[in-house]
Amino acid sequence: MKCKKVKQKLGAYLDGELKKRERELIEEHLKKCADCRQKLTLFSQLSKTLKKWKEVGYSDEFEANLWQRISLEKEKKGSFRNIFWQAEQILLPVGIAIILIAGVIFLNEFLNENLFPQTSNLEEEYFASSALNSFQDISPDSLSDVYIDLISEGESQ
Amino acid sequence: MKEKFKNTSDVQLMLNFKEGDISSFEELIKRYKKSVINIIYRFLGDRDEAENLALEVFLRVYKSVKKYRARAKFTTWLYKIAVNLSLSELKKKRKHFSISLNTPIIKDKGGFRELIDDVADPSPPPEKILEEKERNFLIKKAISLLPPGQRMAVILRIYEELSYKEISKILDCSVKSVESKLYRARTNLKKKLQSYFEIES
Repeated sequence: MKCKKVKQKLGAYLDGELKKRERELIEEHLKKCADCRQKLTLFSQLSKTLKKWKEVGYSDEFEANLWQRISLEKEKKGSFRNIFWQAEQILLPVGIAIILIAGVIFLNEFLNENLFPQTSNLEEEYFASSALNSFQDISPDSLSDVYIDLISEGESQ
Repeated sequence: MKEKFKNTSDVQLMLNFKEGDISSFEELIKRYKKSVINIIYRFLGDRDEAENLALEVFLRVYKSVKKYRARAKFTTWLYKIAVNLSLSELKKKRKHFSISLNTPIIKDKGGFRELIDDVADPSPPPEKILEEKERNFLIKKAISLLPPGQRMAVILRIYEELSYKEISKILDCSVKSVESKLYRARTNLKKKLQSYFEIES
């Protein structure tokens, strides 16, 4: 292992984070290299020095403050829910009314179109066809023939 | 009274709390408030701010208990919340005080006010307190000058004594990256503190 690589691993070596093989390689190198040994000593002293930075305590009111914050949060959430609930009281009936009206209009259209399809057209066709039948044999040129037929019918009776 | 939780794991406490047992939540606060406050304090440099943010951390735990699944270690989850809140707090500060981007986040009161307060306390010999306060101040300053990732890695390793693997989960990075962050942090800190700890030893 080269010095540079060893130096980069010295922190992890101190922290006990190296695998057995890597650890052995570093230990081998350290036996031969005074420079790396010195760096290891410095890193080790640094860790000890850093550890001396004292931790801070917490105030006696920590829990009380936390519960206060939790209840504030609940209130906020509660008031939001309340607004939503009030809106619901108005929006729900209005919504239902709109749906009902729209439903009635739609059904009306739907029933007219599907249950009595083209009623008016049928009627027209019916009248048209009956009218056509009654004048089927009559053409403007042969009106006299009609009279003749009628007369001849009457005579034969 | 709290002895009843002596052998209860953090995850079990969280699951009990999910079922509505408030005393389990209180036990978790008792176990971890000090760690959470100190992680934030060492990262941001202000004790009051750290306590305030720690309240936010536990509030989030409280709020998300219903969604809690015992997938990872409880502390990994808890510290991740603390780390993320600290980082976003730092970002907010940088936005507000863009001029002070390169200056450490130490507030004067952190070092100086505490120094005076303690010297005024008659019980321990003043020189000793001064020494200790001076040392605290130097370490705090050196750590505050590290880039955020290196700073957090050092805090979690040196003060919380977490494994590289756990740190990697908290910081959302690889174990290799934790190793490299810590190496660079140590090199930086050594430069800043060498003269000091050479005298000491």
